[in-house]
Amino acid sequence: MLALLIVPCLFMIILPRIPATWLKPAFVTMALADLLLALGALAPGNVIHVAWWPQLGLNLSLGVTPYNQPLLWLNALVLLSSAWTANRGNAWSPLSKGSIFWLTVAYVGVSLAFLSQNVLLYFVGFEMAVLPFFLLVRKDGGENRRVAAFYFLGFSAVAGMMLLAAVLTLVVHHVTGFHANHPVSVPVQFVVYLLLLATWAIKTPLWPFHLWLPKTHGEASTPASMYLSGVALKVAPYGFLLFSGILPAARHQASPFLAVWGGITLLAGSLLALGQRDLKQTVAQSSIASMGYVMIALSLGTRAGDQAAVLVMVGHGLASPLLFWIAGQVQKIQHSRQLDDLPGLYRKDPLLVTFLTAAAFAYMGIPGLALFPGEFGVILVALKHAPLTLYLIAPAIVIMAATWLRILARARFGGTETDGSFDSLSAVRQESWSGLWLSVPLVLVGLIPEWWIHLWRWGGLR
Amino acid sequence: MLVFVIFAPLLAGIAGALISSRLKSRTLSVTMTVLSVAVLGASMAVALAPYLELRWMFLHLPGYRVPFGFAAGTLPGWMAMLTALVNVLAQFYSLGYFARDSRQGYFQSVLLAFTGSMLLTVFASNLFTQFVGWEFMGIGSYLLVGYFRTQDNARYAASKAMLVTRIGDVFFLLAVIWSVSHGQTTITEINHHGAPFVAWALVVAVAAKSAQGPNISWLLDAMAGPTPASALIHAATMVAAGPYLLIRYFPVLSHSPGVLPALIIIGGATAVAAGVGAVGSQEAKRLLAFSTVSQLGMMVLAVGLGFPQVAWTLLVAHAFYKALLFFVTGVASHRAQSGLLSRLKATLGGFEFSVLFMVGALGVSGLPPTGGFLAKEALFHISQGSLFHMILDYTLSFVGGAYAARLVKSLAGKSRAPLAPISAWMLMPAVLLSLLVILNFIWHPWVTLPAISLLSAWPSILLVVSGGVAGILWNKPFRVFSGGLFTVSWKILYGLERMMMTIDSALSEGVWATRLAAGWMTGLVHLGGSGRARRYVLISGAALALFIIWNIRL
Repeated sequence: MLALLIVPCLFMIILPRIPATWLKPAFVTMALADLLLALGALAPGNVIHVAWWPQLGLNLSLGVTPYNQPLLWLNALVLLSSAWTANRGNAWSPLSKGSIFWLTVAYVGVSLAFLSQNVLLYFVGFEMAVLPFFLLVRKDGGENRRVAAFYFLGFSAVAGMMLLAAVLTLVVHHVTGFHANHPVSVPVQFVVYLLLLATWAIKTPLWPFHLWLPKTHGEASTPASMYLSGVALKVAPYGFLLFSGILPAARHQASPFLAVWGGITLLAGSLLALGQRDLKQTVAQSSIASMGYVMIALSLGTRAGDQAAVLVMVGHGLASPLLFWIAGQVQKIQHSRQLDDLPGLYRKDPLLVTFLTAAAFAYMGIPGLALFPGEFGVILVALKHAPLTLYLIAPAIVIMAATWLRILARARFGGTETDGSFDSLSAVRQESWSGLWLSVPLVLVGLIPEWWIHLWRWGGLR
Repeated sequence: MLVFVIFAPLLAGIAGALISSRLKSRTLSVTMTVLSVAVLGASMAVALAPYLELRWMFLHLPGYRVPFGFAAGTLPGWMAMLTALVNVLAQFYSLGYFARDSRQGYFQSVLLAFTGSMLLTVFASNLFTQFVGWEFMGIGSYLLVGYFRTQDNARYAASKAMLVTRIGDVFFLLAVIWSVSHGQTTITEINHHGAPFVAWALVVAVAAKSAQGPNISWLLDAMAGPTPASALIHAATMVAAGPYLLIRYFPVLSHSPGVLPALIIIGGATAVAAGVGAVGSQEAKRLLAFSTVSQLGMMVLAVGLGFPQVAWTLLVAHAFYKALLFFVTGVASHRAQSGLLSRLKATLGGFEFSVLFMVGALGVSGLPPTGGFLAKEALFHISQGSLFHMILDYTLSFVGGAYAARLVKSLAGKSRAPLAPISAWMLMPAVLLSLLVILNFIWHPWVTLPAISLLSAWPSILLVVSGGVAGILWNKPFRVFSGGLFTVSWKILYGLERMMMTIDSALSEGVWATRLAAGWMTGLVHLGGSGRARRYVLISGAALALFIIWNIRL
């Protein structure tokens, strides 16, 4: 388990000495090594515990649980696919030592947050995953990257402060682990819960706090967008899952309200996605909708709800990087991401359009693709515990279908059969094969979820 | 064997569609045809075999089990055979129809995958599995209808088909969710203990998928797809899956209050409206689409009257003659290079017209000696005793005769110039189907029908004939209302989306204003000067002033 963190750290140390031509192979090798480690070496129940400040109960405690294991797999896989995407000499997917370094830092931070077994390490991981993205967006990206980066930093900083305040309050009340047997008093629970709620609302994001997300994604480079939406977005909902365990009373009280909030986020996100004229922005706004599903499931506070939330997180963690990667390729081919420039795309790169179709169907919730088991599970638990949200979910499904059909109607159709040849695009076409990194798991997770969710029937830490 | 029947077409079709650009098109299409024949054979074997069952867990969350299950039985066996048969014929037809098309292999792969998803729904032993097949069929229809990628109407029709059926799918999903959350994981359990909610949700889902009620228009637009795809969609998959589902879930429909009368109203109204629409249409395929909707309405009506067996009879009969009509009319359109009724005159040879086409026309209008006649008579038989139902049936017979006659009239005639030769692949399915339509007159799978004497059937025959006369005399095209609501709903959706965007930009402005205010305050601090010492003096001075004011007030 420690190797999972040590490998990227070693990589960061030797990074300055790697010659430029070896940069991408080295990065990919590191990510692949970590993916293999995550797949092979992790087992629920691995725990590492090192005392750091025992008087306060602040210790370095890492552990693999059935809940974070799939997220760790996802983490390494998304890093691998982002690493594969980075290329030299392209403004939208740059390959420089700086960007690789900061992406790796974010990766270590996210892994730390997922592995953490007490509030201290979660906080450290959470913060480690923030700053790199500010730099990644600030350094390379589109025209307005300065504003976007500050949006991201401003929102994240507020969220971070709230989290710090909540963590400090918890530590003062001698609660440091996530399996506390003596929960704090109810008023304190409420204060902490409200502080945390603000954090999650900003970082997940929930609806009116989502403003940073489309701005950031609109300007971020392709690998940064892929990693940010694929995994870094899951840190906040995963934190919600962790912290809710020690705040049972507050969670119980907030549950109906939160479920409706999640439903509103879902509906608002899908409407906003429908309103975009830009492919990448559509993907970004759809992420908000998916996070709405996650929040509905988490708010219920049942084990089935938590598991459905992880299912959605994994599904979304595969579908959304795939779509961000597609948006990057479209940018390369068309030199534009506007929907109105899409018609005839299938003639220029049929393979890319195949991936786009698969990912769009995944977002529409078609069975056999990664998002379906999760969304199905969420609606299942919502019917029992918060039936009111079904009124928000049902129209959102239709709106989501309309959003993606509108994109497919442009990308899959149009043009004429006699258009000229596109030999100049052969280099981009060659790259299209890398969509397999994400689309194969996308199908596997959707078809046979039982292969990995049997983890949850393991009766261990939780 | 069951596994092969369900998954071989699905997997082979998907794989074929994905690798179609790397293979020789003709090789792929021949492979798909051979596979289709194998699937037909296997489905026959399954129908003959004793009861088979397959079941495994798809998803298992605490407190919820979502199994994937299949069971072969008599009704699924027959339905699967029907589907596989029409698929084989459509594949044969495509061999000729797309002979010079570079994407023939892709088309036939998708066709096979589409059939596979129908078989998934047919053999499914619970609602969840049926939902999966149902969704795959939606995708299949999207790809098939949108086959002609450069045409704007294909693009529009495919998106519309997917979106409209998606609305119904949401209700299907809710029905699935309800049944799963109550632990009902087989059809029998749902039929015994299902709630009225499930029944109603299924009715809405079927209405969307089978183009009933206000959903007619997507099926009409879906005619932008190629002919073999239309034949398959209309005869034995997708839209026919709706009545099939109603037949399977008849017990739960019948013990949910209000569902059967609602089915009578939906089915009856749709059947009449679509029949009238068929009389007024100018295009052959559009006429056939209207007639499909009308016949589906009759199946729904039969279920609503409480006789799923009659609906099944009609389903089988309709599958044969509708596929036949599509194939023969396709030949005519192929020769005329147009689908307009006014251009189709004298495009069929003597044999094609008199034997193949007329058999189909007799079937669709419900005249002997075809299976259509038996099914229509069965519908009359179960309507007896209620004046309203009888009038409904008579109207349907009259309208059916009228549109069939209109089609016959526009295709009739003897061409002076020799007709363009047609590939044997395109004729062979029609020959086979016309035999089946006639065979269907004396033989019915699964159900035994009451004996019907030809003499006592005189009122309906008379009505069909008089309808036919009226249809021949009527020449004026007109349109019927067929779901203009979608434009309105799209506008509402668009309005909502605008509203959301406005809120979003207002929020954005708000954040911007906060930033401005912060900047302004920073500026205020800088007003005293930019040096560190001066700022320190300013801040401490302000703090001192505040402190003094605070003390004075005390």
